Amino acid sequence: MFSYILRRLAMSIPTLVVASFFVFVLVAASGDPLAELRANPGISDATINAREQELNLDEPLLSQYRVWATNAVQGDLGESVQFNEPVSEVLARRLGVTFRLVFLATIIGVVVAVFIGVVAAVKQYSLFDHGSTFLAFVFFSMPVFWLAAVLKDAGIRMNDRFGQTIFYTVGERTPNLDAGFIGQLTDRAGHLLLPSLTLILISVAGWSRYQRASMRDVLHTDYVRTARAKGLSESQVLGRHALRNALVPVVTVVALDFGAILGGAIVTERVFAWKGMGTLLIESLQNQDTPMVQGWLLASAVIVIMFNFAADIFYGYLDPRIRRA
Amino acid sequence: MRSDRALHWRIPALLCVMALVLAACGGGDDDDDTSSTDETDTQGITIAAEQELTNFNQNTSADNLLWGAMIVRLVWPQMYFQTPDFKLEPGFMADGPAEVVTEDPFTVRWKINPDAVWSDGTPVSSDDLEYYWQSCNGAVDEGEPVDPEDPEATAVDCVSTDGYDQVTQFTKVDEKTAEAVFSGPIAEFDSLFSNPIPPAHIARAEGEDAWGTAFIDSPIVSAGPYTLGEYVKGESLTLERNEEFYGEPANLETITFRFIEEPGQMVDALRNGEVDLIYPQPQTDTIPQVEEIPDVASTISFGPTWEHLTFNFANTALADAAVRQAILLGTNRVELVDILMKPFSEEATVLNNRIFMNGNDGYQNNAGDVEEYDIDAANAVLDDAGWVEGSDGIREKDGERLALRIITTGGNTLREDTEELLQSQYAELGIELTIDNRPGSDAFDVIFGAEETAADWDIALFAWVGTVTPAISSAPVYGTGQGNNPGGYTNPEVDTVFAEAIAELDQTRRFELLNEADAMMWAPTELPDIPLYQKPTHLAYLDKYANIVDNTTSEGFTWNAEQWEIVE
Amino acid sequence: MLDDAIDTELAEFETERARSHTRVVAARFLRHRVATVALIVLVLMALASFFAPKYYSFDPNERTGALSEGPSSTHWFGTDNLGKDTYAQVARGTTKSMQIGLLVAIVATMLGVAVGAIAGLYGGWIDALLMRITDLFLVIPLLAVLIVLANRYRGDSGNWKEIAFVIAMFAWMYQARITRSELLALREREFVKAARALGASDRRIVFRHLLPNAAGAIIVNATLVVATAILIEGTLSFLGFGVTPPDISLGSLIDEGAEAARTRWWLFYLPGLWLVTILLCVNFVGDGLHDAIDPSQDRVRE
Repeated sequence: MFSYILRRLAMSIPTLVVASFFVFVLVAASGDPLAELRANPGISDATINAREQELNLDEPLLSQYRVWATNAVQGDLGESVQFNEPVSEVLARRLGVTFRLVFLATIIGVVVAVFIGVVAAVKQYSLFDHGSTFLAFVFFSMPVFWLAAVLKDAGIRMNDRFGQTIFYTVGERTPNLDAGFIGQLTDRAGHLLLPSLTLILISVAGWSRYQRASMRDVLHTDYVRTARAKGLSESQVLGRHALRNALVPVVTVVALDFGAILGGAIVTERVFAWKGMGTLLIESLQNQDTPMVQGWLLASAVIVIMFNFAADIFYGYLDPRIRRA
Repeated sequence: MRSDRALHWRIPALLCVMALVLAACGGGDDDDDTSSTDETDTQGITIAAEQELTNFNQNTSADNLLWGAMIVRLVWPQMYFQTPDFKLEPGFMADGPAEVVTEDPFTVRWKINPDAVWSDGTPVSSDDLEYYWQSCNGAVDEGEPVDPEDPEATAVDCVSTDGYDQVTQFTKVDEKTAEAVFSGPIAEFDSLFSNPIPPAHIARAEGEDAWGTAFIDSPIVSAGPYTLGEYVKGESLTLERNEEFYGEPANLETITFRFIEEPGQMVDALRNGEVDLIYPQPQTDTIPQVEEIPDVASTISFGPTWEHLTFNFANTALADAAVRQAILLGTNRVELVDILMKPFSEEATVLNNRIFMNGNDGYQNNAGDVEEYDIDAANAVLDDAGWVEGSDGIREKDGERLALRIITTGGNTLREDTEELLQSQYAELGIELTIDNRPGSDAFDVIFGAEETAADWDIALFAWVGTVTPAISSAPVYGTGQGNNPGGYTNPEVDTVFAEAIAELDQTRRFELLNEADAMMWAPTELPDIPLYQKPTHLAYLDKYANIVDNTTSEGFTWNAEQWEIVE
Repeated sequence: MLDDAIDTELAEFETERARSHTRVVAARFLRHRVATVALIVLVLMALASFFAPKYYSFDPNERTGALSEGPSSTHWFGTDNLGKDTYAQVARGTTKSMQIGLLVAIVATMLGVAVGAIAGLYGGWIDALLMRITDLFLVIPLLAVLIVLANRYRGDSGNWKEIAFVIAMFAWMYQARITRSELLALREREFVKAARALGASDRRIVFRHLLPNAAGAIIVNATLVVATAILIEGTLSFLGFGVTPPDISLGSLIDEGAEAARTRWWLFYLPGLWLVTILLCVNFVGDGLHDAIDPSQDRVRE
């Protein structure tokens, strides 16, 4: 197992290098960081040239990348233009906010999806199967921005009905809240409710379909038939033999989908006014905060690669054959 | 080594975590204390703020945001502040109004409140005024190298040098008295030092760049009714009552500004009890939604922000006075107001003055006969001037089609709607209007010429913000060759009247002169622009708060925040 | 010459086979009741949108004089505050969204098929490299990268083509994978072996034998790309990085209507439901096609 982990880790590093170069080129291609300065007639050419030298813009792209990457490895992602503070600090702050949303949504999403998928596969063509399939299609076809807005509207209507705030619609906490630990926790949970529900509904739609298909494949395999023939109880067959194997493809899909969940989080944050990574990216683009955009993309690349790495490990744990390959 | 059982308990464990989380969420039902508005232990107010301040010293051109001023004015003191009825009144740090000591040379004296003190114990003094003047006198032109030895040295970036640049000598008479000698009479001298004044002793200790950089994260010290409390960048900023304030202490213990950009989100937050006060850009859908919320007071006011169409005289068609006159006659301003403004308030009306707003002292209708929309007259003017209808229904003269472009800040729904209405109105005139917007502030780079494409526009739709110093601020908009005159309008007679107004100390006479200048520009041969309407502001708050009054000047509605209180 | 003749004959044989195959697929698809209904609804919605100017009384940009009115027999989906008719706008928006979806599907399919064909045909390190790149693209936080790229065209009028190309640059991966795996499977089939034995060139084999046979799977996936592209364009418009007025897309309509959800519900809910219906139908059709072309669900995976 250890050598398997090492091998996987070794494979992640070239991927990260390629990804970071891609990030750099992408941002370089998306606009000129000095556009605003150049547009200002009050700023002399000398100032612009000095600034260019400071940012290494006068050098070839590859050496610009080398400077940036060397600093990035040492944890220095530069200074944010809009916040006047180091990019890494802003990222750390905003990541925490988004992480809470994405992490919770992913965990609940996986559990619910596995449950729905397994039941639908076991009770194939039952009302539950048809119903869950149809709902999966509906949510799969729903744009996140529309679903989020609909849920928000519904949440406010419910609050009106109950006469108190159960569903919060703005931000991830109540600022300056004078409450104890439990009060703070409750407040944050209340703010999490609608945004995470949005992400859960969307991701469960896709994942439960995968779980259903993979569970059905497994149920048709010989070893499950053998297990049944041996007279094991149905729950033993499902739990011990079928589910374990049926989880493999879903784990892959969840890891692959992480980028999509992050995309969902960008939209959800926008609708519910969360000040997380999503809002940060949009603000940075609007303010031409190039170092911030680069740092943002690099951080998300690292996270995506870490997720895939974790999925590889989990995968190897679930299916020992893969380790040997 | 790994049994299958591991997986068995793992999933229930996960479910348990989930159940706990859900339980925590559900807990909100029984716990009333969590809502910000229901707190009983601290008396405070939470305000949805559209913008986040970028610098506590918001007196720089980049940081001068309405919301910055609204927050900082509660922390740093002013010599003067603007009242809702467009007057200047002495602020916390002033000891009575500024006085003219001698008229020739024109000398003004300011006296500072003897009790005024910064929260670190340093007295608020004439040095604070001197530092502000030094930073804002524009002594070095921005961007121009002064000292060949030190090419980086430039003037300090101050938001407005108007008035300060006329001071030839500034004297600190004593700790609490300052005097300035001006190069000539300036009627509106009381507008000086009406922005929040930064603490000079802190700034001077920080060194040269302090003006722009020392106060980015914190005001450091306070000499106002509040001090800075918790500040989470990008999320919220809380002000706490300054218990050592030298003036009348504030009523509310905390004022929290929560940064929320979208008007719709603000309304939801107010309805949901997540904020107590909102000040959104008025929108067709937000106003009725706010009015539905129980226990909320909602007011619409028409502020000094006025939308207008500015003509670019570089366009040969628009340089023809007949075309401008026809556009004025053919612009159905009443329809614009009916469709775009009346849904907000029945009181909305067309603006017929470029210098004074409806309801201000000095306002009068200077538009005269040209006020009325008259499509037939408009067409007649164009016919007489030789603009005849071409085969495609668009007029032309000497082979030039009467096709104009209109530019505004893209993404602003109200302005985009205005453009669409104008498009269909001008079609009746045989004028083709093409929409050529730029996103956000990029539009101003084009209009005011910060780009290569400068002056590449025909008609610009944007707003000016009226001030309590109409002479100083209007002259640069219509004066020959002035920076705020992007259309290139010029009339020496108008220039003369403005110059007279700036120096006229008698207010009644000054207002007469300004109205005279405005009336001159409504003449059919002039028309540098067409005023459309004043933009409304929308203030809504829980009605348990008393003494909240909107202030549409650049002071903002926090102008009397120290007097707000909760009445149950 | 002889090769050509045999090749032609082989091709004809395959065409014949393909024809009967098409009939079988069609029959299977039609048995899929939900997919059939979805296809009919989708075609009707597309036609209704496309031909709206012919039968509907209002233009999308026309000011009708009915300000902010709810749905009625005159204004099917109501009007906005300038009096513009929402149904006419939805129809125009649908046309634009579908244009974008189709453009993306075409570009992405060409890209994906090219990558997949090269990988499948040459194998070895080329295959390994191309597939590694494909995998990399698959895990990219798509939306983030798209808004960074679309930022360039933010606010430019007539930017829908640029946006479609940007989306297409990140929508080709499944096409590449499918093409590759189809090629690998087909390569082992007798008719390809026969053609190869007869000395047909790689290019000829790919274009005359392999691609026509892989077309089914590619087309199925292309329908899904259309749905994805419409969805993504909507999201970009919602975030402010999409089409610019006077262009309208379903996403920009929903964005404009979002604030009206509780006051003028028709401006938000009707375009939204319309978009969801389109996407739902495309997904059902894709599912039906998938089942019809590849009815091997019970096959044990290799």
